[in-house]
Amino acid sequence: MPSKVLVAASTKPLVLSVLSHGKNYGYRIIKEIEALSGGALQWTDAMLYPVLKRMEKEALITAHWVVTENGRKRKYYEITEEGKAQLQQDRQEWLSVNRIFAQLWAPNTDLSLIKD
Amino acid sequence: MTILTKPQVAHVEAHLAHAGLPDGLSGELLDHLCCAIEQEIDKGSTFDAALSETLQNWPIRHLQKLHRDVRFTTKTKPMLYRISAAAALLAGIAFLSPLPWPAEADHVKTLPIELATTVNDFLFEPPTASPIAGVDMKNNLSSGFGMRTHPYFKRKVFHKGIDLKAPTGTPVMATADGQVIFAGDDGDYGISVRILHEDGYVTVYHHLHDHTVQKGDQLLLGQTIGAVGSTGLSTGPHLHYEVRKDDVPMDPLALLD
Repeated sequence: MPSKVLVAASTKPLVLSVLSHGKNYGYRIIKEIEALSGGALQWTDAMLYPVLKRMEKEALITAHWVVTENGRKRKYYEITEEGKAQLQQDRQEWLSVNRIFAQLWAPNTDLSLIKD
Repeated sequence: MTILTKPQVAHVEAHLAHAGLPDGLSGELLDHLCCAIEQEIDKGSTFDAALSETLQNWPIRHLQKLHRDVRFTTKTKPMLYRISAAAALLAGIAFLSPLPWPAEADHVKTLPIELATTVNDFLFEPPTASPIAGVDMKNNLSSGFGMRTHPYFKRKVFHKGIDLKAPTGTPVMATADGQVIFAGDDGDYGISVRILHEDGYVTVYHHLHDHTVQKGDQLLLGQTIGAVGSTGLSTGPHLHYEVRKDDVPMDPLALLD
């Protein structure tokens, strides 16, 4: 299970990434992440809703109610243009960090720049 | 795939109604809980078993905390934008790393600060509740936060908290989960309790009639810690309540909606 700080830092980009595949609702967003991580990343269910609310306020996502076939109301979230731009930036950031780790953890990595 | 019937949904709705949430959030959670129950049924559970398990996972207290979290995270207070350890770590990697940035990442050198200001730690709850059950802080102030004439010494001093009117014996509650770091006689402040919460918050309760918690106790939000009194340098029964963030006193009312 990732640490609290990592969860805090990764939640928004993860939500944006899920929504970049199409609109989705709270329960399914949580389940998608759970499935993709092979169960390693399990958000406490309650955690997602404050984040969604905040992201909605920041105009990264929009929400609308849909009445499903069985008459139940469901709140769907959709990524906005602003959200897409944010995701693009988040993506670059996470990839950059990932690249640094990949280099540092590669066998035979030579940290020549700090040798002296 | 199971789809709950209207009467089944009504069971879940009745549970949610107890939490007194706003319509939007309540509707969203209704769908969430129904989905969770449907999934359990798909896995072979009966409706009754799935309902009872799901409702156990979502007690009223959790629902209400979720509501407070939603309110809190959507408030745009600077204190929300706290630099998390993760951001600090990233900053460290980005600025101190001897490795050159990969060429295609040139345009993302703003990384650390950007990330630091967007990280929003929603996993803790600051002390936003009233320390006296059912007493609205704003409408029951006998003395607010900031400069004031001291009621005992009659000279201008900075008031580090707020005074709330209440009769002797009124129960006083912890305003967030935390650990008691002081409980006892605190001289001029009378019988006092201090609670350490997550994220550097400390709440202070002075002039109590008595305290029902001890140093080291783990408390939940809303737990009784003692009763209003007039011990120490006090001119009548009231509660002096303080919120400190990283040792700096702040106006408890600023944490309210």
